[in-house]
Amino acid sequence: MNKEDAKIVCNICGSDQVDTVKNPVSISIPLAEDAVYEQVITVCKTCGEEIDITDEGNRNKAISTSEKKALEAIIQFIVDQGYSLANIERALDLPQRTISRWKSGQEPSSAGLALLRFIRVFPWLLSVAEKNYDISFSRQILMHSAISEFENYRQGICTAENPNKALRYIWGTKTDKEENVFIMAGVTTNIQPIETFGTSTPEEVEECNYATS
Amino acid sequence: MESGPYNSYEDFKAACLQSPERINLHRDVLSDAQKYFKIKDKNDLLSLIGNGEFEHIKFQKPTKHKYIENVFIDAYLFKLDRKIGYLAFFEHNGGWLLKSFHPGKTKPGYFDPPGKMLEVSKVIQLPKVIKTGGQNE
Repeated sequence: MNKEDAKIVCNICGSDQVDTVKNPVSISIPLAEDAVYEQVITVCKTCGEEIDITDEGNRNKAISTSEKKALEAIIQFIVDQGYSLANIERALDLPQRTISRWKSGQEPSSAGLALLRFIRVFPWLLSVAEKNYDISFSRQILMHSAISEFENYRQGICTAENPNKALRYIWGTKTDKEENVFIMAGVTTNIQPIETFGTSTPEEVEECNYATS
Repeated sequence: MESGPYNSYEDFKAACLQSPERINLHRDVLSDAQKYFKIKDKNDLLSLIGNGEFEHIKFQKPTKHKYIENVFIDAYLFKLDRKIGYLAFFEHNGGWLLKSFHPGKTKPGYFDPPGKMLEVSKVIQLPKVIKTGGQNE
């Protein structure tokens, strides 16, 4: 309990029997460390209410600092993929030096931040933009990205330390009693399913077995 | 106890827009609003309530305040961005306290207008119930 400010009264019942409590609070920020700020609460001994009297400025500052760090990390990630800032601006049809201004401290718009977050999650979106959002190209790169992800996943699972965890990519079709056709695809190990889409058993679908490394 | 509500929701909405300094938030309200509904700050929260941005909102029940006489806390269920939420507030001495703003629970179709279930049953053509004879019949 912090009794520095004894003059504070309860905003609800007006009692001056109030304690002021300060607690650290974390706010989740996408693709960044949590923003942490000090929440200030009044606890009224008369009416029992606990009211948040935190200075909004302190809270917003913590969020803004965390978002700025996230922005820098996202831009660095994209640069590490081989893009220059000018590349990104041209691909996204942004005015020149927009990204560099964001990088050097100017806060992006909420839309700008959302755009960069999408690119961080799906880096190939930049290639789609470079190809003028060509639908056919976007499908190809989506497939390529999915296959690459699968391969990375397989390599992570099938290690020399875990030779029994052979990974199988399953796919195929299944017809039920009412002749409804289901398309199935998924990933399984020979021990247990990891991630499947649709219901299936390995016997019912064609299998592509990968050798363990 | 009467069924309530005991506090005017319309007055609460108006206060959110016209006199936000009179709206107090319980300690958990802002972090719950941010965590579950992605509402950034107090301004955004009050603007959302004041502008009636809920897809649906329905009064639930009043609860007598534990320590303040003749004060009841009104609870509502709402729908926002396809999520169900729960909020509770009351007014006292000219000030308002938003006590809760977090996810809520309802049965499916809770916010559907009356008669909606009837329409659904027509569309899916529910099978007729056939009685079978028992030994006692």
